[in-house]
Amino acid sequence: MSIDTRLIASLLTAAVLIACAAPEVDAATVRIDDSGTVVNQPLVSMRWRKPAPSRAQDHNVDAEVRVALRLNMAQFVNRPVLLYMGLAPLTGDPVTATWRTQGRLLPGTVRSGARTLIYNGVVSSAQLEETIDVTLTTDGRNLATTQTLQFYFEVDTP
Amino acid sequence: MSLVPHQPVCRSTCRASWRAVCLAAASILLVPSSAHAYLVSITSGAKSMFLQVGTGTMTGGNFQSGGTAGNNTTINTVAVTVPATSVGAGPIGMTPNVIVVTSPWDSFAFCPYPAPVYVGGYYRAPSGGNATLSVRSPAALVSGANTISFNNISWVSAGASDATPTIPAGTFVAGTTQTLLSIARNFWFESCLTFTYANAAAVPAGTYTQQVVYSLTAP
Repeated sequence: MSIDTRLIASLLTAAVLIACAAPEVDAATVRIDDSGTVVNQPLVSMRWRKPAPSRAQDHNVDAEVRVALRLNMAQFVNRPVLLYMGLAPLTGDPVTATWRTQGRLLPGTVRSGARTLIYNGVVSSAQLEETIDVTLTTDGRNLATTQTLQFYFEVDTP
Repeated sequence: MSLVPHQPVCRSTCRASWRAVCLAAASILLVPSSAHAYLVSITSGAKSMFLQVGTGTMTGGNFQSGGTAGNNTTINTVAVTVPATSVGAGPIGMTPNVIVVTSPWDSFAFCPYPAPVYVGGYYRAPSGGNATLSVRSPAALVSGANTISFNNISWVSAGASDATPTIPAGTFVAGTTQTLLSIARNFWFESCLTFTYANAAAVPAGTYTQQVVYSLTAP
């Protein structure tokens, strides 16, 4: 092995060791497969909450979407879990999602770049299904182009 | 699609051979961030603009209470009658045929003045530059063959609770389009304009009329 090769190997090894060490912080966090989830309106036009601006200001835009959640919880059947819904960070202004549920999951609010508890209990079946109505809100003054919001689910296990 | 527990993947790569480590590292780098995510794309709010000069139409209340503006094509008049004994004797206030006191935004008594013409509006937009409020005046008021230059009409501006008027006071520059106000997007503006005829010179008797046009222009 040449010096260059050894150097590259050492750097790669160090990088991998660092990468391996990092997940220890959230070692018990598992991303959930939600590929069965269906959004009734994948592209939604935001509406000004106040069509006319005021001197007091309310520049928020919002929109509602209905989401039929289907989460693969097979790995956690009969186990207690803390299930979170998260919204990936955005480059522009933050977006807030507030949802109502049919009762199986918890209602709540999440801001882009964060996550919120949506279920706390024992998983009873491999597929967790629920329909939620999500209200999306952001500052309309800076939403000049289409933004794609990425929602995800993850479980914290002991 | 199966569950992807992060930690076990990492542990296995740490114990694997160098070749396997490289492959695993490459795999991790190639996994798209949206591997498990439902997506919703949101588009910007629609552009809109509103201008009311004098009489306006609102249905269902004011803007604040969810009312909707209608298209009102009424052309209001502002007039003054100069007594024969006062011709050329100095400024005289003009009176509109309809006095609008309340703001369409919240029905606040914004123009509690003797003879105001309400001017207000907004430009709603998610991006871009300012809107412009302008007024175009003809060269002169006309009565048959006789004329009075539009330079003889001026206005002062006010608004209840306004420390300084939003639309500045001014005088028509005859035959031109004047910019009155640059309006930042997503701001409400309104002022109460009270007009005055300069009455600086003797003119032949008659009824002198003309029309000015206020425009709100957005990029």
